[in-house]
Amino acid sequence: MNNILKKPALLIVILTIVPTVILVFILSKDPIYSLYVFFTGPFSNKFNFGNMLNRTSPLILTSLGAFIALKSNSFNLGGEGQVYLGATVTGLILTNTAFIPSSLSLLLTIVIVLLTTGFVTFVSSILEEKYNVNSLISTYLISMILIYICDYFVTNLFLLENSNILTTKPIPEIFELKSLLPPSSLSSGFIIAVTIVIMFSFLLKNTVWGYEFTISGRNNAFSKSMGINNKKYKILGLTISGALHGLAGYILVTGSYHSVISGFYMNLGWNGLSSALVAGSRPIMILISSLFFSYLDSGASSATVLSDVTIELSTIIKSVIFFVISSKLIKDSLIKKGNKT
Amino acid sequence: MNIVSIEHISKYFSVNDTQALSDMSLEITKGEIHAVVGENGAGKSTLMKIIHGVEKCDSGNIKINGKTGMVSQHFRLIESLNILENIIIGMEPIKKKFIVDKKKAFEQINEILVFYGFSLNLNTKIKDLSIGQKQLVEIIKVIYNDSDILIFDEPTAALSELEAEKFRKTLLSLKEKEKTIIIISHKIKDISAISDRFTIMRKGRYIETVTTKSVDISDISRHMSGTEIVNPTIDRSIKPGKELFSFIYNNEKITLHESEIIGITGYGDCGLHELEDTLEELSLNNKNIGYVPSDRLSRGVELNSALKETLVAKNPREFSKYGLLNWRKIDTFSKKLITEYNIKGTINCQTGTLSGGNLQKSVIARVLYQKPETYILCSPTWGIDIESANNIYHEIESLKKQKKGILLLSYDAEEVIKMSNRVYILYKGRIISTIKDMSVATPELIGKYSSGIINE
Repeated sequence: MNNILKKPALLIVILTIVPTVILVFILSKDPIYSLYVFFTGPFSNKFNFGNMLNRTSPLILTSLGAFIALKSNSFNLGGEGQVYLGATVTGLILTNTAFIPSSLSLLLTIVIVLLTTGFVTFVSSILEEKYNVNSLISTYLISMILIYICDYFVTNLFLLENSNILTTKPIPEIFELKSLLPPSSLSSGFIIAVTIVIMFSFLLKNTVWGYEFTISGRNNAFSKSMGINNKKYKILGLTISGALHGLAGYILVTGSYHSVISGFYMNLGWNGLSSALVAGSRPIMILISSLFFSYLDSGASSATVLSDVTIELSTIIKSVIFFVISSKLIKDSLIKKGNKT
Repeated sequence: MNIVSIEHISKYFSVNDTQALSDMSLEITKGEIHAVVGENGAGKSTLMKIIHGVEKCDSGNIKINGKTGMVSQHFRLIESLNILENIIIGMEPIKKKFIVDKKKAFEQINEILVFYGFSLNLNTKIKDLSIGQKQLVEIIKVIYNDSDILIFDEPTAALSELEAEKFRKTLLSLKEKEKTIIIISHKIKDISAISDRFTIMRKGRYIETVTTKSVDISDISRHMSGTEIVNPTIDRSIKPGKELFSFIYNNEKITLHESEIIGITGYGDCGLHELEDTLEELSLNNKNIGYVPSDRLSRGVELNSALKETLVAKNPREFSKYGLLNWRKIDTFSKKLITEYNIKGTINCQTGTLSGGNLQKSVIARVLYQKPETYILCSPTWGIDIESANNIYHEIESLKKQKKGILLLSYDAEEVIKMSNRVYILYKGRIISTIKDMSVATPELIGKYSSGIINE
């Protein structure tokens, strides 16, 4: 048991799979088949596999966003609203800029998305620095406001008439990210997301900026004493976190849905946060933990389609993961305290 | 009769891969004051935690006949509550099922105060107490919990000499009332003045148990670390050279010269901490000032980072080109520092796994590498074993010879007297006295100034 406890990631995987199995045994009439579908579904064919990877792309970015915020010692709980904002801005610009060259408007979109969502979290961190407003609260509250504002645009001003879902009109085909594995929805957004993680991994490990950013997040008193500007890195951390969430929204629109749908950001922010917590201290682990999350998601959808298990199962599993992670955090802090000799 | 007997216990920490205790044995007689001594990282604190029951050992036998109570180095008191409330936390006398009976608590604690001859106003808030008084509150709390065995982890490290003297008297009165006392300390005086026996530990192992009366002071120090206390011979004949650095503290200008050591001392809340903060600010904007913080665990090193990351923290840009870090260069540099300053650790090990003495060596190594002209050393030997402290004194000596200027901020009056050319004594945020003629300086004199007994 001691060996397992030393590897928290392994422990988390075990602690999530065991309740899943138990739940399926309770909820399904043919539990063996349901489990089989649950675990092999995502790998059963090109379509399912590609969809799983595509589901991962925005999640990777939100995890990285949450990760960067955690590294700079703040919490970004407003991921949901930031993703939705990024998506809405993307959708609105791309559906309304037919009059300028497409490459220009694509570039413009990305820049505006990064700036707007980055600005939102920038405001939170400034509030924290200047007026002592906890960013944990302000990011969340601002995000709730953003969700309603975006909903106003999506479901009122730019609502596509005669559609059975609340959506804007689709973006022009030219802006859609390149499809990688037809017939699945896997797009080049996946490559973008992975590249960005690798880039940040490199930045954090191999640059002075990354070094100071990391040290500043780990120990304020120490970095202050070393002459590092803590304020700058703290603000930067939260701002980058917001911008990455916005980029996730951009990929969500251009790589998966090709239009802005009310509520389609659902859980990207929260899952990103838990995936970042599972990843721990190394950015490259984000890829693995995000894949694990969407594997669970895709498995649940396969099981829903092919057996009598319901979609709620995946939600329950994710709650279990949250529980396990929070206890892991508690455990870590206990270990550190108990071991000072 | 043995009130505590520990036989062949071992303890291994997987987190930092250390064998904290191996085959450790200890016997403690009822009613004695037993000191446990050894270098930093010898496993003393772990042993105490095991006796107290907050840590479990991997193997071996433990027999304890009585309730244990521990007063740790860092107090666990709630600053905004008063003494009474802090003492009864977790042990509140109750009336009518759920109301805290403060009157009864007051009487019970007063009984303890009278019995042991302590004086404290139970309604005082913790934040208004001195360090010595806070410690007394911790002691009363442990007595209130009906503990028979009292464990103290470096109780005098944070105390001024006057308070430490009081504390030792307190321990003797506890002993009179038949409490058993186990005390960890680096201070020879704690051991020679009050302990009946002391046990020496080294690297998690039992070395020997000695009856204190049978040895003299220098023997104790040799027993403790295998080295004698060296009285650093600061060469006061070196004349201070040209002016290096000056600052104004409370309308008084303090100027530091080449080859000069200025000591600044005082008791408790005399303003030394605030002064340190001010000097830290100054050191940030001046490359010629090297700063060794008193709070080395949070300001001096980063416990959760690799040792090499801690070592290059002051100047990461020196190891980079176009913002890219050159890890190979950092590795070579860190290895060089580790060998040069004899730091026991590897460049990739987690900084937090180093012992106190080695942590301080790392801090000093980093500061020395900067090659500043002025050094601000804050409590440089606090909580460090004798051998490491001696090394630090030697380092200061050689800095002085190299025409460097040193500001020594320390609560340890003896250290300040040993090293300084002149001494400033702080009291309630101002300079109460300056001693220029070091031949008249004694710890007693400084003590009198620091406690405001003499006022200039």
